[in-house]
Amino acid sequence: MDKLRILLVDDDEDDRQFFADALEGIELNTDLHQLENGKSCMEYLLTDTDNTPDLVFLDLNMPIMNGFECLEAIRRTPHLKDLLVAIYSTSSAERDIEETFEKGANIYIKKPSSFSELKKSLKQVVKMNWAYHLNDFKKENFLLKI
Amino acid sequence: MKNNLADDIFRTMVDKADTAVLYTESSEPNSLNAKEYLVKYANHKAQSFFSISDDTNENQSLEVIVKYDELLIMANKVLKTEEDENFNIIVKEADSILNYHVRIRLFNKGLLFALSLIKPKFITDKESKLPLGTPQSRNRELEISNLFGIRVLDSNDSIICYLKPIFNKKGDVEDFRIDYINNRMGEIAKDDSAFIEGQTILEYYPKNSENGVLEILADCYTSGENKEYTKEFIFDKECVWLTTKAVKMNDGLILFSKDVTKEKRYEAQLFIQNRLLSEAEHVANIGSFRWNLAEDQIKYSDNVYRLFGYDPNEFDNKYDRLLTFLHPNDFEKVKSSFKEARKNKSKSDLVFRVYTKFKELRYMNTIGECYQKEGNWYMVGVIRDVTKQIEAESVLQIKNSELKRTNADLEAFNRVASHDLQEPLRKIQMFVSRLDEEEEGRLNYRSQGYLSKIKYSSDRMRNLINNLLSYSKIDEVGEQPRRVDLNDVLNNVLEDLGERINDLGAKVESVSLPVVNGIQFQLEQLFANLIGNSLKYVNEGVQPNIKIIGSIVSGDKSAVEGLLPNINYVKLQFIDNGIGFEKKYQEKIFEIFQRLHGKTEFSGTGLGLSICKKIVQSHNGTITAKGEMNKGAEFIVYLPTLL
Repeated sequence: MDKLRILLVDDDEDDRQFFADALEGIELNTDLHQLENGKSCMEYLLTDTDNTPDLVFLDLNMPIMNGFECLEAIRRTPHLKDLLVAIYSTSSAERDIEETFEKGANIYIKKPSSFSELKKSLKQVVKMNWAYHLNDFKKENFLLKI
Repeated sequence: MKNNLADDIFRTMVDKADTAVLYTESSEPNSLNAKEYLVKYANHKAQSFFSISDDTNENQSLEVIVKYDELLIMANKVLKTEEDENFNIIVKEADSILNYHVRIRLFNKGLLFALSLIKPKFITDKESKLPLGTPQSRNRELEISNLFGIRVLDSNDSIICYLKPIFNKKGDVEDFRIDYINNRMGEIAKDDSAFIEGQTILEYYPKNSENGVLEILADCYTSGENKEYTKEFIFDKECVWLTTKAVKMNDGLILFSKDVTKEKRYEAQLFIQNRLLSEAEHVANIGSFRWNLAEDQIKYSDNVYRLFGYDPNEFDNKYDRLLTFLHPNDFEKVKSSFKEARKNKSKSDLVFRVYTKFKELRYMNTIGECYQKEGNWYMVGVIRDVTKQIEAESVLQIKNSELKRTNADLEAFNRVASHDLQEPLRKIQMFVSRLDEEEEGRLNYRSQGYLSKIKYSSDRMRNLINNLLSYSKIDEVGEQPRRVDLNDVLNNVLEDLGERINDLGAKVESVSLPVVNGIQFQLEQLFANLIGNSLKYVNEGVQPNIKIIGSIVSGDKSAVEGLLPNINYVKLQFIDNGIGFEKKYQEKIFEIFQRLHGKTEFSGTGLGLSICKKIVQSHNGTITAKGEMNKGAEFIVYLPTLL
């Protein structure tokens, strides 16, 4: 099986480290690329089209281009409109969750406060049989809040 | 001699009468064409009505002087039928429309015209049907029956009488004898003229000595000056007001009296109404005005002057004077608004600032409407001092903007609390959990203790932030209230708390609960907090027992503060057998951050019951608490039933 290509966009260095460590901890075959804001994310996605990731984890509160704007830009781009996007944010505000789903997010993960929880969440998302879900579920049933 | 005197009296009376009297004769005997009749006599009124000058009046023909064909047609009719004619004509003089009652009759060899002005305001059936002169030759001393005048005298609207003075020994006038009085007096006093004639004025009306009439008349006689007075008389228990003109003639006085009772009554009524209006204006802090738009003069009520700090009539009532009170910045606004209203006769409603006499700045509101009367345009309206209202409004505006700022602050706080505060906290927790995981078993006993204290404190802080957030969110207008089945609410909450209930071995009893109008997640939080409290504050060694009871009560019978009468409430009782609390705390426990117990004894943020209270209040309900130390607590929630 090919490596699952994962892109993490988050301006917080600590959080990126937690994420990378947790991903390593779940011992699955993944390839992680890290970026610091929405703008560099879009540059990456638009220039290196051969390396389009399988899954993007997107923080909301970021400088230069925030997660909402980046999500919109992704969905505006024809070859990225089916890209799997998981929101990965500290906010648990109902209106933030609603808004990201309206803008086309697939998953919403609230950043957990313990390392074991983080590992659990990532494992759940990464191990999910996306191909199966993408084919058989309608979009509205496909939203996942973790 | 007597006839000469009578002639004089008569001529004076007729000359000064309010009725226009015109006597004409034809140059051709028995002519049936009224146009050919020439003016032989015209009194003052007739001269002005027909526009004839004194020196030429005896030569002009009716054809020349009569402007209204109707008069000639009716005069011809009289000549032909030899019957009297009575009719009304309406004529336009200058700017006014006037209504005249006209009588035409054959007299001697000619035609007699009498025109009297009808005042429409005071016309009554009695007056309009006033009989024409009924010739009663009761006049004995003045033998004037040979004159056409008796008809005029008797048909005159005025009381006419002739008085002769009676002197005392010193030669002063002490009374007057009534030599002649026309029958108009008889109508007013309900006495026959013949009865009155021959009596003195004091015999007939003794009060004439007290009311000043005798004095005035004596003065008139002695000095020879004309006098005019208005007095009140009582005839047959009825009050009559007469305005009298007294003129000295030869050795007597002629009196022309007019019944002005109705005018007086109107005047009195008007006076009372004006007083009432003035009082009302004073109380209501308003003034009124009437402005003849053609004249630049404004008539103000007394209170307008007072509103501006002046005494009534203290300042000039010219329009330009009003403008001098204005605040400079409102000058143009007021000027153009009034200009507009004057031009278009439109309604004007404006607020402007003025400086009063004492240089005080006041806000005035004028509302004026235009109307037309007798060819003139007027604006009538009110002026109101609205300073207090305007000031109150501006205070309200300031309060509102403060409130907006506070709301914005609160929103900013929410953002800070939900994100910025949680961010570093989450990191602390994250690092602690990693440290715990990686160093498990390697830390010494004390360090392990520190770590768990950090964990406990950061957990508490997270709880606190979450509770604060939900407390501040209760008022947010989000979800609309819907029908909520409280049984569902209870089941959901018991499910969530299932683990703790099992761990404690607690017994939860409930009955079937009603349906209310509300927001489900808030009601769930209410139930969770109340039941959660009962599970938290338990008596050691006693099986926790929680009862939830629901019933319907009416607002006026429950005697609970804050409930409205005429509304039914759902009463929910949460009763436990826990540690309870002292009675003195039953109000205090709902206050924010109020804790009755040490932090170490029982965990909690001090917000749980505050949140409960806020949720109940936002559902238009009330929550109360009862407690007994170490026996238990009871929380009672009242929520309005579905309408």
